[in-house]
Amino acid sequence: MKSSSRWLLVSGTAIGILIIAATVLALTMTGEKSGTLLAADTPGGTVQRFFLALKAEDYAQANSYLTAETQITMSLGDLDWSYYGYQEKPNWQVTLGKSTVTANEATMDVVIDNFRINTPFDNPIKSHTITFHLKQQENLWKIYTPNDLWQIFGYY
Amino acid sequence: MNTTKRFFFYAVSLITLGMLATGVSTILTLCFSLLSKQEVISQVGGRSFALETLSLSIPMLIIGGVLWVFFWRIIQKTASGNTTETGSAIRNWYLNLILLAAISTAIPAAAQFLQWLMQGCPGTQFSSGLLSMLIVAGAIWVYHYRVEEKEGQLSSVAKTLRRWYTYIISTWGLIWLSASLVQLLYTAIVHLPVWGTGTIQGAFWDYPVRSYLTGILLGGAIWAFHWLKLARGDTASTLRQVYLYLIAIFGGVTAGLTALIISLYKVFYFAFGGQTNYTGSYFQFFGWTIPTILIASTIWAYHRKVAEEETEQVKNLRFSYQRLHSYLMSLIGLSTLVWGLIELLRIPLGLLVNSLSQATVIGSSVLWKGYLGLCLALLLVATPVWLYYWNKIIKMVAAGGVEERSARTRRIYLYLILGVAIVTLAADSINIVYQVLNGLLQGTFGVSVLRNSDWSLQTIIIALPVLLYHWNILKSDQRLGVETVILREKTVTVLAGEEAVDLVNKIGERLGSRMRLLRYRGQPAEQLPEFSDEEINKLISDIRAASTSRVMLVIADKRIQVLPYEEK
Repeated sequence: MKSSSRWLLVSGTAIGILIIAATVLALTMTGEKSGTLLAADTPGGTVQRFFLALKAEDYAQANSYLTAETQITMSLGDLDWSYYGYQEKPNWQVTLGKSTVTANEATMDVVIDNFRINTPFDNPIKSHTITFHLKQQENLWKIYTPNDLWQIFGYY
Repeated sequence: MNTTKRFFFYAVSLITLGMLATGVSTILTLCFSLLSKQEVISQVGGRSFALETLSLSIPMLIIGGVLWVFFWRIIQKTASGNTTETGSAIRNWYLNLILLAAISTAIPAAAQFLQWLMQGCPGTQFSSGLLSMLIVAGAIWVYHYRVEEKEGQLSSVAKTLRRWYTYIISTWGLIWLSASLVQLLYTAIVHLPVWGTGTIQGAFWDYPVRSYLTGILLGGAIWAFHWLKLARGDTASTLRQVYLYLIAIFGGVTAGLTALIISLYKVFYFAFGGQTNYTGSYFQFFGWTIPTILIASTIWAYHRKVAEEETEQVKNLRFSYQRLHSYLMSLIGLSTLVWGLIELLRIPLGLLVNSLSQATVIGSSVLWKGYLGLCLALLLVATPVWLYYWNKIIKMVAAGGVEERSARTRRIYLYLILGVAIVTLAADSINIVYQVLNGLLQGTFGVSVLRNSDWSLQTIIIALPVLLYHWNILKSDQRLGVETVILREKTVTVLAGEEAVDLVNKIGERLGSRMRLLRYRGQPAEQLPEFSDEEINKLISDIRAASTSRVMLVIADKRIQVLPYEEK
């Protein structure tokens, strides 16, 4: 077999394996952690429920996880996504990291991935990390920053 | 392949390679992201997100990949054993553009990945996007580098494009390496327990230190690979001289002298009592100035040595590069010296204005101490530099006679100084006359006129002797017949085959200037006869005596034709 044909065969096989592996991983490893609800009286439980409510576009429910001063007044659909190069409201996922609790305050790092189709050379996954700050009020954790959807999703 | 067809194939290949790369990178990002969720406590929207990512990346990968393989295989088949194709401008643009883009993507990704490793691989901060970008851009770079290495640079355009790539990346690596070294040393020195309690700082092993270490490792690696391996032996390149003289030597000297001036200024300022709130941390500037001086000196010394060794190998260019270096250094020295003298004049003029002024001036003594410290630092550093290099130039001119005086570098140097001095004098004169006239006409003539003209007075006093000194030099050059020599200079173009390379170099050496070389691609000629020194001297005389400023040499049929011509 010619060297160029061998090279083509090896590359093609590698790409095939990559596609199969990615498909298997996407179908089997997603959703397993989002399916389990964390305890409601933990910082993670509050942040998780907040994002689940946003996913369902239930803003009244989402606001119930925020402090009284930090209420969301707009929806994801109201955001000017074109400003950040998105054609429309993107698909997104959030990944919750570990939380740090000190007295009645807590922080939690959240990785937000936005999906955007732009140019053929551009990576369509735009990731950024946001630190959520929470306060304990009546045995429940409430988010007080970030306090609007721009800060959470409006990232180029 | 004709040019239009070639352009089409390379353009489509470039776009489809971009699609393939994005597809692979996205799918790898997804895989790494799914595999690295060990420390994640929860994820919202993961499944839908992963499926949409997969839906886009699979077609990009398959369609982009198939198209790229199709076009690239046709390109490679056409190029195989075809030197016209491998040496074509479009192919070499394509290869070097990809090399440059791939390394510019891979290195920052590698830097962030290395920093993450140094941080102890925190699971929550793992960026799957960075790792996939590093893998894909790295693979693209390695593949195209091997393609280019295998076929070599078979045309002058191929050599030039490769040189652009090599020296751009060498410059990037050198600057990154040296800046990171200085910053790391500064951070280490600031963290020494000798500065008292006035300094508040975080832990040493923090983000900045990790980023400096990354800069040292990666900057050093890319500089070493490109400069020591890819640029090795490339002595005939003009871009190499730009890198050596303008980036490394000029840049190194400028950085080192700036750090030295700042050190001396701060020491003088302290010695004159200008620093009233003294704490130990005042001397922390030594933490960056001394490393800057040491590293800049090392860069300067190393590249100076390389330049010296290379000028020995390329004898006909020896004096032009030595000359360029001397005039550049002299220019740095002179401009710094002029700055120092202007600052020196500021003190008596300023004190005069203050003494004539009725207003109360607060804090002026600290200000004057600052000016005094600055001008002493500038004069102490600039005077020896300028004197040393200017004396070297004087000796060079004495030995080289009218030919040396007519060198382009010298003429640019002299006319540059003359131009700047004349413009300064004109601007200063306008301001002084304006201030005086305005004061007289408006009835406000007084100390304010002097105050508003002080900068112009300072610069006019310095610019005038500088102008006169260099004007006299230019006049004496002209008296000695420089203009006549310049008129005799010819732009020479040579049309010759591979077999005439040695002869062309010999002619260039005797002529003392570069020649434009056109490679003859017709039937290879028989062995050229040996041309004696007398014959070459006669040829040089014929070139110089040609009736036009442009001359073409045609080396063919065992003889050399000298053809004067003009461009229409």
